[in-house]
Amino acid sequence: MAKTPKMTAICCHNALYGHFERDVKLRAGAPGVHTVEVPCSGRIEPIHLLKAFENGAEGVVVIACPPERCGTIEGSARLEKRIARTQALMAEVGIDPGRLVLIQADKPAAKNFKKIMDDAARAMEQLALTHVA
Amino acid sequence: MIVGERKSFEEIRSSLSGYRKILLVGCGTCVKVCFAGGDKEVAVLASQLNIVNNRAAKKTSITELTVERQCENEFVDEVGRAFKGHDAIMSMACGAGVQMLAARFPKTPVLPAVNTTFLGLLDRQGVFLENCQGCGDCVLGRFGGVCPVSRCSKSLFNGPCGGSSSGKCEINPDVPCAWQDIYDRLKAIGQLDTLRETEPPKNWKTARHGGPRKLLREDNIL
Repeated sequence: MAKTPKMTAICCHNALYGHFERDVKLRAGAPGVHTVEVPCSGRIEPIHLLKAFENGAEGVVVIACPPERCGTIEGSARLEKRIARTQALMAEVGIDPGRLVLIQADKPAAKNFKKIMDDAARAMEQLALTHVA
Repeated sequence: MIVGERKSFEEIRSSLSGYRKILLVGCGTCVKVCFAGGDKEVAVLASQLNIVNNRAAKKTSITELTVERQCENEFVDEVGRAFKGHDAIMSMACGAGVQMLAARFPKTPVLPAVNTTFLGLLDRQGVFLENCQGCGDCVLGRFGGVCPVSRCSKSLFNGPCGGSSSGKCEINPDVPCAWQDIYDRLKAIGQLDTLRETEPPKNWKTARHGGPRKLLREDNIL
């Protein structure tokens, strides 16, 4: 049986809980997943994603709003470009770009968080694991 | 500004082969603006090298440092304070910065991580265009602010060449014809008549053709 990859999730707060959510009782999380929340996916830069792999993550999932729904207008659009850039940087060091996945959530993703992570992990099980000693 | 591009990861990794303690130095000025060698690019390259070294179980350490400008001694002093114990320095600055570090640390290999490409401007975010070659004798005032040396593929002073097509250069259809731009600008400012004058051959002695150049400002030297 394939081993479940060690996963890191970096998530836009709005993509998880919806816009204007102030009284958030449900917090996104799943067993074994290192979860980081950011105020907007536009805050995420290639170094954050690379560092996750450097620190042992075998798969990284970014959950963001679709660009047309981004509360900071450009954040999500910039993230898309940075994901592509990071995948190129990963390929340079022999990490399969498929180990970095962007999920653009049409509706708040917190309730489906575990399923999102399980689906991503399952897809990554088929990829060669090359960056872990 | 000076524009550069980071070298391929493979070339960088190959040049660092054999060194155990590397000081990776970025520059906070031109190469930061063109996303080639600033603090973020230092962090990214260091992370990539760590990933590769960790996989190979190599005990190689990378120290990250970015200074304001690598072309000035005042800022390079900071590198001097961080340098002890490293067996190689990799500079993410332009060629001027790399050479400044090499002169400051003559007994240590100093390696470039960036290919310095041109002097240019930021046309829009992410797009950098060459528009100056430092010829040492600026003639922009005669050509409507469009440089025939850097913007014309053939550096013609009495253009156009006849290969211009729909405002594009025959050498590269993505490049605007500089002489079309010169014509348009001179027309806009009512100086088209100047194109009737023949420009004499340029004296290239003030450019790189005359050898490495030096500027002395005695009023600033104590």
